[in-house]
Amino acid sequence: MSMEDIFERFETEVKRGAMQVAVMCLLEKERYGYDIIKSLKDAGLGVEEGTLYPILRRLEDEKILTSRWVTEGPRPRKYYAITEYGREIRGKLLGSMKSVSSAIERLESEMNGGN
Amino acid sequence: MYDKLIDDYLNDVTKDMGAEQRNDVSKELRTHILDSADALAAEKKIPVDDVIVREVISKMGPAEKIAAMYPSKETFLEKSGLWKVVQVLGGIAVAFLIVAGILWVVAPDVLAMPLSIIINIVFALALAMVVITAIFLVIYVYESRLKVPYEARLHRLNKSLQDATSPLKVWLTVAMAVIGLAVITIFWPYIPFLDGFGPDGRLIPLFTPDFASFIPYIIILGLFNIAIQLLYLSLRQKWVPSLLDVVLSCCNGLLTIWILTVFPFNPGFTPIIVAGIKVVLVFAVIGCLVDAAKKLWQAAQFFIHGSPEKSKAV
Repeated sequence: MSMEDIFERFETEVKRGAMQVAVMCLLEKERYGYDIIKSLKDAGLGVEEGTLYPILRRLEDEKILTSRWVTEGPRPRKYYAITEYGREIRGKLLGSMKSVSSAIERLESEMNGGN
Repeated sequence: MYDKLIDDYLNDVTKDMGAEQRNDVSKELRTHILDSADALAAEKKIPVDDVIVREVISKMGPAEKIAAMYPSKETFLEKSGLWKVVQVLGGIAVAFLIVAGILWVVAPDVLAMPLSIIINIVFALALAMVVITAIFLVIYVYESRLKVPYEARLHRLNKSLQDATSPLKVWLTVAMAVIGLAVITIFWPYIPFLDGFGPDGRLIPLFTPDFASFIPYIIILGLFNIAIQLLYLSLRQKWVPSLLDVVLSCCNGLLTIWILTVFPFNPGFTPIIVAGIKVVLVFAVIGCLVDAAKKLWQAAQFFIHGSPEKSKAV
């Protein structure tokens, strides 16, 4: 496996986890899939577009998100929003991510100091 | 058309999903693909075409990968309760076989009669299992393989028939016009109609040779219609054939009024039949006027927005 492949696999895994939290943050306001992807791209979290929808479905199954179809307009759109339960989980996840991030930063600075 | 590209991709993503999830996921992903295609086409300042849709689909990622990411739902076998039904029937059959076995051990002399009954019951249960499985299999094939693609095809067909510029609608209209012209020019002297109600009613020709003077006008309008349909395919400014369609509808209305004033051609019809046909002709005139108004509205939308579809999106 080449270095690019390994990097891509790591990046995909990290991004997928981060994307779920990012989606929970974005869905404080009701949005539909295409709108979420645009916002993620604007935030620097470009993803393979098709992968968002299974994630939304999974979060919905886990009662983290709620959804409704809006059929007015030229195309039917499925709007998602975060639930109260989802907000609780999001709070915990954000805390966990921050602690992981600061731990990594500490390890990095130790590593650099060690060099 | 790119609709087929989208359908094929969505079928690949949703082929192993239950009917409800399949429908939901297809609808959501189709909207995403069309939204992305619109955005990409606007960015490139070109209309949405197969190339744009292919690019969008490639950005979505491989269908198999996306399908695998969806949370797996209950399988049809679990959801339908088929497995439970088969289990219960199998259990009953096994219970009868056990009873037969016990009888064979404890009372072999009285076994002959009950054994035949038990064999019949077990056979009936096995048959029930086969029939129930076959029925569920048919439902499964319909729900998972036929329902959504069939609905998608019907939806696409309906959309094509509503779109004046779609090749399907154009060629269908041309074919109908050609058949209509052939029938009217060859068979008009032989079209029969009931001359009156009651026991004496008989079939007589609807038209007399006087009607022959209308045939050239009908042929001209038919050919005009075919030319308009072909213009829908060849011209980019769709409002031009749409406006010509308005003229055609008005001409059809005028011709019908003319026929109405001359009718009946055949004096053999009773007054009530003549009145009935005249009412139908009046409705035909009204229909032509309504059609002209609709075509005028369509022409205006083509002129302003480029297509009626885009005007809905505004």
